[in-house]
Amino acid sequence: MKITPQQTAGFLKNPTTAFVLVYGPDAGRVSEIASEIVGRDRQDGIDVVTLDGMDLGSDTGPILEAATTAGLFSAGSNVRVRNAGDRLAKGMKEMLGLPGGTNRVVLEAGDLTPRSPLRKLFETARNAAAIPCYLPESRDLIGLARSVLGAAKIRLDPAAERWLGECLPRDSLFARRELEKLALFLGDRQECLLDHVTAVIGDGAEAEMDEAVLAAIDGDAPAAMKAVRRLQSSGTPAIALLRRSQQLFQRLHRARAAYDGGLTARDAVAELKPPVFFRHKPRLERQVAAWGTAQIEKALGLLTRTESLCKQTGYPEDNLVAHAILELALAGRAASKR
Amino acid sequence: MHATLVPHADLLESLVSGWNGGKSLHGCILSGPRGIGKAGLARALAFRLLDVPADAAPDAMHPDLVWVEPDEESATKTIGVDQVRAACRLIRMTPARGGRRICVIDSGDDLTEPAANALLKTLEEPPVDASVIIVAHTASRLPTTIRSRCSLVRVPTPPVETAVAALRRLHPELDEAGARALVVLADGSPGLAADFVQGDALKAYASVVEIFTRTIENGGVLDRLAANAFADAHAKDEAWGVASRMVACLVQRATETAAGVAPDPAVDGEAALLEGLAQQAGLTGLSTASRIVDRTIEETNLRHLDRRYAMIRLLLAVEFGLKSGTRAAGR
Repeated sequence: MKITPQQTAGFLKNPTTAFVLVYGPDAGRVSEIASEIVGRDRQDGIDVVTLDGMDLGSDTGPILEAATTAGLFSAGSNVRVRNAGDRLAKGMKEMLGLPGGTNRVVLEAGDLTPRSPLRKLFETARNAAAIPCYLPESRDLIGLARSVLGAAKIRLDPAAERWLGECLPRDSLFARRELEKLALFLGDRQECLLDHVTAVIGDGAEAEMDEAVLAAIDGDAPAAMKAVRRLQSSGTPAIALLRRSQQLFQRLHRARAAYDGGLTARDAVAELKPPVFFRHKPRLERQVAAWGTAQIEKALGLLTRTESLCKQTGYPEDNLVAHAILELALAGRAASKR
Repeated sequence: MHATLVPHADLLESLVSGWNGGKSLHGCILSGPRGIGKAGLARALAFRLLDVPADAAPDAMHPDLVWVEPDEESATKTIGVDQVRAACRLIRMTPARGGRRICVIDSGDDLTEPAANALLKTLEEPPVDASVIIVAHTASRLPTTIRSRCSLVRVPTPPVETAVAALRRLHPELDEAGARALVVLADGSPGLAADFVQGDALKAYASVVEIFTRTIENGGVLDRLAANAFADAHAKDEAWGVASRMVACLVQRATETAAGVAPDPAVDGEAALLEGLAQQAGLTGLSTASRIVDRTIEETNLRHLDRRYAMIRLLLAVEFGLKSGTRAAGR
């Protein structure tokens, strides 16, 4: 039986099958759903046994044993199998065909393709269900934010809501933890503003990388270097920063081309795909007007050369990248003065 | 490998008669550009020498034929030393059918250094009635030690008509004009042209031609928006491979035009563009552009640089060539 994302909530209220497979790229959600299903029978005196697919290999014997054994002090156990994979498919097929009931068996798996035998088995068997957990999109994250903060009687400001939709981690469990932290931080406050959100929720290295590059484009060398140092001390690979710089400069190149073609800076930025994060828009619009095509191409040339050097043995990557960013910041200073 | 892409019948006959006429070649290198039917020729030659009936399937097995090619499973797609050692052991044994044993290396370009050295021993002291045929796309890159122990046979690029016919046999959906254009772009190599079919090379080439026609109309300034759009469409694996080749191809053809050897036109409007590029950039500008383009492609592939911007760099290289050519003319 296939369970669509819309049917998931209904299924969780009343899981009709004993065997459930929860899979998908959203590992946090997979784990949430699995623990909800196996934990729901606790008041009836049924325990939970957790097994690991890594240890099981292709052997489903321990699963069947755990699911059918009556406990000494409990009415038996539900079984939860972490890291399940296609190796279990054959054994599970036999188990699904057995007569007689068992306690609940819930398998947690990562992203399974439609051709995966395990997924096919659970989708087609009558006494089993397969629940996919896709990566949450912006509106799912906003919905999650509303429900978590709503439970604490906190109202979300529209700007804060938009930020959360774009910047919360794309993993339901992590996102929920971040939101709970935010609710705790807000305490008695009734309203959540953008400043509160940015103060509490970090979106990690990516924002920091953007900050380093955007500051360099602005010509703000001290801010750029500060961001670079912070990144390097937190162990961000030099190549990652370099790649991000290339992406942002290519974006600038693209927007500047449109600007030279006669669009206003605003329209040139609005046209970009993927869309620019709304808080960066005014900044990028300024940058598009300040940097000329030739300078942008020179900057991109520098970044390419730097990457090429970094990929040769023996060069100190971090220093090379920091130096490149500094050079860009100096070029940025010259650009914004004109 | 395309088994019987091009017949190379005359060459085959002369090789067979040379072999049977006592000029037994223990080691022989079939050299020529990629995709002109060298492996097919090697197989046909081996079959003839082993007396396989002419109507045998092109991929028939023979106990005395050892075919060595890169292991599909291996990540590096090279011929390793173990493969070569096993092959050398096999051809040292008495022939199963009493004739001779033949080992074909397809291709010598894929040999790792240890593998090439392992082959060397067999070439130095060849077993009686055993021959090694090496297919080589770039014979000059084989170790000198191997080259000096083999006779070099240059396999010619087939005539355009033959190549077009071969390409259309592989891809019956192509029309005559399209197939001809692809063969022209692939320098006459039907195998390479067949690879181009998959990458939609003609479309990419037409876009490149359009971009630079506009550049010339525009006084030598590349349209950055068009360049960005082109790069967006050709940044991924296969598209990058084909499109980067097409830019290199255009520059090469413009260089030929500038040198006074105008190539056959491949797509509409190309002849005018090649003429324009040749006039404005001149031989100096175009050779500069060609050098930058080749180096950029090689570096990007080697170091896994960002392909989207690499594509823009390729286009900018041509713009640079135009600029430096004009400057040189102005002096």
